[in-house]
Amino acid sequence: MRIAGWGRYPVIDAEVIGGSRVSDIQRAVRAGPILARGLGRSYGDSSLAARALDMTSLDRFLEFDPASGLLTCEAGVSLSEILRVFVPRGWFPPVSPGTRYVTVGGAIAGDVHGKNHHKHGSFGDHVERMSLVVADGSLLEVSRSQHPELFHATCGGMGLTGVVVDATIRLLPIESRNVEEVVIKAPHLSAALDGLESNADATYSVAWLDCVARGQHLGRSLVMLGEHARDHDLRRRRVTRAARVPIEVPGVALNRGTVRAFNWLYYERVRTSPTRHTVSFEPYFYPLDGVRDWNRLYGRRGLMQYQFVVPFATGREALPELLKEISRSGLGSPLAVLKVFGPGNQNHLSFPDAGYTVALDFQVSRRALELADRLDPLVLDAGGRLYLSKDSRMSEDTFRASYPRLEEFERVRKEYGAQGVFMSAQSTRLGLA
Amino acid sequence: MRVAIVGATSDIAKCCARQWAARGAEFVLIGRNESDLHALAADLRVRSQGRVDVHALDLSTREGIEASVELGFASGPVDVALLAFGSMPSQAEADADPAVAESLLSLNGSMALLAAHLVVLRLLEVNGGSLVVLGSVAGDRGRQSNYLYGAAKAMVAAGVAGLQHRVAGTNVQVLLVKPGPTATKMTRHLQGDGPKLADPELVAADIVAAVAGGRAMLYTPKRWRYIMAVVRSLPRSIFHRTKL
Repeated sequence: MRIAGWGRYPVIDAEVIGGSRVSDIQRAVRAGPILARGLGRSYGDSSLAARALDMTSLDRFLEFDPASGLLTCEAGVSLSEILRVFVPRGWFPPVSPGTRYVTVGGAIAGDVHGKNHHKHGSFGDHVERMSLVVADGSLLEVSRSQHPELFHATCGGMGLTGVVVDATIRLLPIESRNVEEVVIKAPHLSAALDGLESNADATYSVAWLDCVARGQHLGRSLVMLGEHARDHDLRRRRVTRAARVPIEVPGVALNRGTVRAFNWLYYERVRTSPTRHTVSFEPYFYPLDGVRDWNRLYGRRGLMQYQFVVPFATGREALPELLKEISRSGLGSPLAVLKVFGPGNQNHLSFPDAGYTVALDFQVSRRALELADRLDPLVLDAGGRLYLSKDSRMSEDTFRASYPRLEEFERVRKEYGAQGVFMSAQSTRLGLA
Repeated sequence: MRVAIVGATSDIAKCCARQWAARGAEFVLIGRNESDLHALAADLRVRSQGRVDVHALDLSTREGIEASVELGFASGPVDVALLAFGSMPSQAEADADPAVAESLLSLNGSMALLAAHLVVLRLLEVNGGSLVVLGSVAGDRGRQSNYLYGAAKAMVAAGVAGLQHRVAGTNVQVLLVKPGPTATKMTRHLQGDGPKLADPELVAADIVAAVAGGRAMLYTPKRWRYIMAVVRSLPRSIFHRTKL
């Protein structure tokens, strides 16, 4: 069966193995090299392998303690399902990436972050424990106190240490399903960075960035802050079926002109700054989930996302250089995002670290790949790195130069026999054993 | 609301149960595999915050079916009884071993109808409640690729029609559901790069709505009603040229 990540680039042929019992997973692991795969929302090749283990049938809740908010569930449970069941009861996932269609296992593997990273860290920071099927097929209880190194290798470890079969995560209490949003217009980059940094006490903050704006408008942004509302509205809503992109849109639909026009409208649409309004959590946290298969908007060749982080110390100088390079390329997407990260954590391959992160979508093309190759050295020189969950093309050298705890990660993988057993197209490309 | 499910760990049953759980239902779950049943029970307890009982039984015998119905009704009146057990070995497996063919016919046909019959007798005693039987579009016309399975489902359909006649004028509802090919564990061998099978969650949403709406027959997804109308009415000379 042909499988691909969310960017639909690259596509590979794989044997997809499924099962709804832990014993199915153990048997599949004992049978040869394999990689767990959830809902396939990572963009590039990190969920791709010749033998892919479809985890979505391990989708049961196991236990919930309303006193502590601790939820134990199988790894194939999606954030969407957690939201559906727990928002009406006043609980929310501790960290929300840009889509709710990710599994708990996938969120752990990518150590995903959301708009609250500066305050609450990444997904792994809210994982209390997990059960992991390791290379010999046995089941290990893994936490910060049991097999702690394996815990820190597994959170953010891209599935390369074993298969997470269940986990206990701490949900966040909420009083409302709504979010109070404040939108601030930032006419250029340093205004955007100031806007984010001066609002560090906001629970959620992110900026939409016009990556085609140039000159004095370089880095023009809408800074969006959010807090869970306190209006006691937890009622269940009728689920509206998402709009769909039924066909692949011809690649020309997203060209320099349309993106420029879209971005101008998007920015100018906001009349007063700051603008305050209350919105439901779905459009606030998961705006693109409203359009199913939106990745098809990027045409047949697929889409790639380029997400980097650069430290505070170098970021204010590096960011304009990076944005100029992007703007000059004439490529660029309507979906560029800028955020300030808080400090990183102990996980070996976790992406977030104190500094500025920018995520951009490009239609896959030779020009986009060349642009990415030009951006890589700028990111590395600034002491930054790229997000593995988005990556489909970085070189082994770039990877090795930017993930300082890689050796530690490989040592733990070796210790637990994971090398040569849990591998992805990405790990092979990046030279992991 | 109390829901009794025989064949509870089937994917369609599981999805239905989750939707009823969201409304706070209590459950009696019956099936073959005890650990699968306990895993589902834990899931439903988290969702419904209500009581969930579990019984593991062999459903391939009359004794097992009788015990299932007995246990299903043991903890009190049942609002919805869902019969979702079954098996679908491939035609090739059935060709190779008559015992496979026999058990396929018995489990999906005789045992399913026997269970439906016993449940309706119980519901008539209290003059209330709903029976939901999972049939299949395969029962609408025998096809070379799965006529044994189809024949068993056709038997259930005829039996259910009789049960519906029997409960006419009472408060008992008997609903026959005919799902089109659905992406479940049972059909995993049919999945791959081919046409997309129906999402069991959408099938379950249709079933839950049909129970609430008091309906007697449900094709889900809805298009199968029209597809099967065509399949049933194709002249043999044309039908035999297809690979269905």
